[in-house]
Amino acid sequence: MLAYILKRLLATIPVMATVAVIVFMLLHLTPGDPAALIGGDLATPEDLRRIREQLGLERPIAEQFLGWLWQVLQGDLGTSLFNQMPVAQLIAQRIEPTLIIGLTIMTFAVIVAIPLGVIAAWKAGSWIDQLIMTLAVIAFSMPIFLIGYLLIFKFSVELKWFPVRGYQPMSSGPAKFFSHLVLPSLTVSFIYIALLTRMTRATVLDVLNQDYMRTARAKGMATPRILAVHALKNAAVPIVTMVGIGLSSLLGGIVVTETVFAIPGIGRLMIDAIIRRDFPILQGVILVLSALYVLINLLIDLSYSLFDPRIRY
Amino acid sequence: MNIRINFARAMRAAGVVIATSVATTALAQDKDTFRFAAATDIRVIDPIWSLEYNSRNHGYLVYDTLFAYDSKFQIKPQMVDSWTVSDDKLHYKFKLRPGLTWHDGAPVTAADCVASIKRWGQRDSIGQALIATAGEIKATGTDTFEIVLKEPFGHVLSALAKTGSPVPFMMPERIARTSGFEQIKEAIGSGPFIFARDEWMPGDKAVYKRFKGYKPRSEPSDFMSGGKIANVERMEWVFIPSGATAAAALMAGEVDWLEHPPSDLLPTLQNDKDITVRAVDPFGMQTMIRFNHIHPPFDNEKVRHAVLQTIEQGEYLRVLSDDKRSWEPCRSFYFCGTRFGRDLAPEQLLFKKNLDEAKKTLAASGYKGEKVVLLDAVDDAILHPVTVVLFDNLKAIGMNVELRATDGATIFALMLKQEPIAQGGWNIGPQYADSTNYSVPFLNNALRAGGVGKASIGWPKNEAIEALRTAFLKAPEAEQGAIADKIQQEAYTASLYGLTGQYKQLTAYRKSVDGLIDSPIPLFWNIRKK
Repeated sequence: MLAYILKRLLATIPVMATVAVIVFMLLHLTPGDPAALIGGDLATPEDLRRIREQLGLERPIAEQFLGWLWQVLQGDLGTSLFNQMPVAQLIAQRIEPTLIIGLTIMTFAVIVAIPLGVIAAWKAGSWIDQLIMTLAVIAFSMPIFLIGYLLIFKFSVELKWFPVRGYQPMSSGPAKFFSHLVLPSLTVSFIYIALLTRMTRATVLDVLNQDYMRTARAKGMATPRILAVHALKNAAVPIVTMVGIGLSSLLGGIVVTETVFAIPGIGRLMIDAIIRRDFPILQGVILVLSALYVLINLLIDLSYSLFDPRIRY
Repeated sequence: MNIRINFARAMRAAGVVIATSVATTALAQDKDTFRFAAATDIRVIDPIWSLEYNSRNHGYLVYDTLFAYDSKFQIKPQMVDSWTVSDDKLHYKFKLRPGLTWHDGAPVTAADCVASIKRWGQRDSIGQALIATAGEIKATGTDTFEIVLKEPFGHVLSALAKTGSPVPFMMPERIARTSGFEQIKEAIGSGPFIFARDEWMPGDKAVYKRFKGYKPRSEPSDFMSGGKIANVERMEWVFIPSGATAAAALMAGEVDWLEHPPSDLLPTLQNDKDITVRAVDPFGMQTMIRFNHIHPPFDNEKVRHAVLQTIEQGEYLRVLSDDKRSWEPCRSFYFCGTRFGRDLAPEQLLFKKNLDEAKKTLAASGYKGEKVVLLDAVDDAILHPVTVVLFDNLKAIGMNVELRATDGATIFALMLKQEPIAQGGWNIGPQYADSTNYSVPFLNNALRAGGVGKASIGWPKNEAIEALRTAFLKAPEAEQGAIADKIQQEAYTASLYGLTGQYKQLTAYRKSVDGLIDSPIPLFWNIRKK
């Protein structure tokens, strides 16, 4: 297995290098000038030229790319054009909220959706199944920002139960940490609960129709045991894949939630960098996210062997 | 039964979480911390290098100035204790107030101020003019310095008191020696608040702590002048990208002041008994239509004139707010209500929408249906609605308009392009500005008319205006008003740019906030939480 992991990790290097080249080129071909944003409308052409010079934007693109690549190879993701802070520091500040909220959402979704999906499959065609599937469709169709604002106005403004905005690290104490986590996590959970419920229902239903399940029922095995041990274990691989894909997409796609709840996460850092044309930040974020995607995919692949003994690395 | 017991436990646990959350929210309302939800994030902490408004606003917390304007636009000493001007108006001698110290504990010296003036003078247009006119700027003692001019310059004190970007903020010499084109790394000032760099999270919040060593003036606070007393221990600027969330945070008491509440939520905020909604900026923003003067068709004065004949300011202002109290037509190139803001617009020329006349003017101009590229910053709450009105009006008079719609950052970069349309250039686009620079003839960037290289975006060329701007710079105070008027008249005649009115941005704050200073710039001294 170790050889497999190493092979997979080595395979990420060309992937990330390709991502880096594409991102760098795309960004520099996009219209927009950081110097213009810094200088404002009062800046003269000479001012702008000197700001660009100071930022290193006057150099040929190839030279800028090679310079950046050399920095990255030395473990330095560069410095923000605007606030002069190291990109690695900015990413470190921002990755925690996104990861914590992403993991909370997926944990909550798994806890709620898998039992719901199993029940729906078990009771397929009944009113319970129809109710669960209808709720899933509604939850999936609701725009995230709408759910977010509704929760804010009910639970923060009216009831004052939870804070409107921001993130507090665990070091600030459990009360602060959890109170800031509830609404943003709940907001996005609906969609993932809906997705996972439907996915679980479909895969469990497929397993339930297999011959070995009929045999298990014929031998008098209790229904909860059939569902939990046999059906769910055999349906686990696609569900775990879905959870992994969900977590990967959450990391980059949580930006709406981060915007609605003013959470300083990686998604907002990326959007702010795009708006400001802060190239080093954007390049750094995309590199880190690419690495995370690769890592999550690797973990998913490795987890398959836990559920299916036929899979070995 | 077991299920019931577990449910009851879960409910109790939830109750604890909720109770602690409520306590957390209550804690957020403490009197020693003031939370300001800024309209934009502080991106750069060097207010000389960056000309962004938010860098300047940050500067007013951290730094102090030598002189400052009061609410009657009178120049008052701030860090300066006393000063003299020679009879020939060529020697300015300044003495600093005793006891001024930097945030790092070092005393403020005259050498610090000289270096600061020189650094600011590299970036600021009036500063550049001052430096060019000055034979010498030098420290003459620990707390005295002088500016010796080669010829009279009527704006020495007003330049040192200016409020528009970049403001001549004073910094320690070791920092001020940095080139004006290189960003400083430290934010060490002598102002009422210390910037807590270790707590700065760009894109989320910036934190300032009360500077216990600050020595305020004895006079009461009056606009930018007087005692700048910090009444709260901690100031947090938070950036909340969603307007609805920002409004909710204000209503929930998580922030004390919301700089720009979203217009659709104003009625909700106005109905909240704990919130005050009003304009703290007495002048607001001017919106305007900028032409690209170097390419057809707007290199033709008559074509520009035809566009100006379509302007009825109310039409442009109503799309920004349906609350008439928040806007006023203003036909002055300087902000109405400021020192030079006089309405001298000729009735027959401007501001009465007359599409028939505009069509006639356009036909007489020789316009042959050339494509006109109109820039549209779709993510800008002010520029986009103004663009839509302008688009309709240009179409109405028969112009061949093409809307180039994209984000504000791209539009800003496009506006700097001098290439013709075929190579990605532009023809026309709206813009807005606040009163801090645009109420003074020399500082109003849109009035710079020196052509390419010596004018701002659009690059108009008008020798009469340029000569008057130069004359304004040298004129003694008594003559400045007349010159400002002449600049306006020339600008109307040349149809330099279109004035689409003055819009007051409403702001919202909790009623527990006391001592907010009316200003175009959010100011934080004097503020107290009841």
